[in-house]
Amino acid sequence: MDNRSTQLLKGTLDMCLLALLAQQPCYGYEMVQQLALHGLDLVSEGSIYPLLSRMLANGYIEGYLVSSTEGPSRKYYRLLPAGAKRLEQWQAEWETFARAVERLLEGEHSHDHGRSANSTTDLRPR
Amino acid sequence: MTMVDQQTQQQISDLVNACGDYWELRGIPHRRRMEMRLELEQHLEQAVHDGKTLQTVVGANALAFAESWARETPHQFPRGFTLILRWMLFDWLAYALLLLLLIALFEHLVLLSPSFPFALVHLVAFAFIGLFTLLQAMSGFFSPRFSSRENRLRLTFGVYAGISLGVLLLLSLAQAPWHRVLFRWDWPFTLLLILGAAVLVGLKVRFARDARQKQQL
Repeated sequence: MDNRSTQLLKGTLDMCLLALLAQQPCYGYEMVQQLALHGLDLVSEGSIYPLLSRMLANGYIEGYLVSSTEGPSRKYYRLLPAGAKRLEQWQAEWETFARAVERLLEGEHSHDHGRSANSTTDLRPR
Repeated sequence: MTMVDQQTQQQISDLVNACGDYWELRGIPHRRRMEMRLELEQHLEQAVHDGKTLQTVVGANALAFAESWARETPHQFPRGFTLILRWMLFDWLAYALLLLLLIALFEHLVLLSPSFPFALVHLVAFAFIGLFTLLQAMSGFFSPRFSSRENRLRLTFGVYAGISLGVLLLLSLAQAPWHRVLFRWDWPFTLLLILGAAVLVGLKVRFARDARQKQQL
């Protein structure tokens, strides 16, 4: 991913993680894989853990160990009601923000069209 | 899926240990720390299985990664001070005393000197031993960049040698009185120190064994 996409993902990673956990409980590496499946590649995969820790401390998610017959236990995370509420808020904020950016880009686009149309007119032989 | 080779497993293990020690220093409670170690180890192993590097997981600066995770994890501040004290006693002081006692015994038994003069040069040696044990404990953070443990130790020793030579050069330029005697002690005190060093080393071995058992649990 280019630097701009990386920065965009960095600013919304906590929301993306909550959205993943809203679908099903996951462990850390599984979340990274799910993000990658959605085309969101992290520069540093471990950057999810500080965010998960913060969301644990805020009571948005909870962690629990699942024992395995093949090896040591694995830590899974699941969404808590406070996390679901926070996700709704973040999602609403994101949609408002994304709409605003889209409007701006579309406006700029039609403005460019307008400009180019005018310049075409100007270039016509009189 | 490919198997993780021994060298990579060692790399992962050194990195996880370095992070674990750092989190202990930051006062993160034992249980939470063990979970963090487990998560990191499993993530690293799975990433390597999938053909990724350790840097893909922890980034270019492993210490910064460990700190960013610690910052977001509830911790107890006094625990860090306890750990520093433990490091000073069981790593730094234990090794420094052993070296000093070797020199003192040489003075008493070979040179037949009834007292041992503790000079500035011994104090500098004490500081260098402390620096080396500290750098050795942090060498695991070089894991993502240096795959072989030998290279990590070489780098650690190189950093140590560089700092030590720099300090020695500065002290020499400042014409430090290397042999100025700070204080002296008689041979019965050396015997007392030998006893103290034996207790420290015994406790160090016991704590290391307890820590290993806790990690296995």
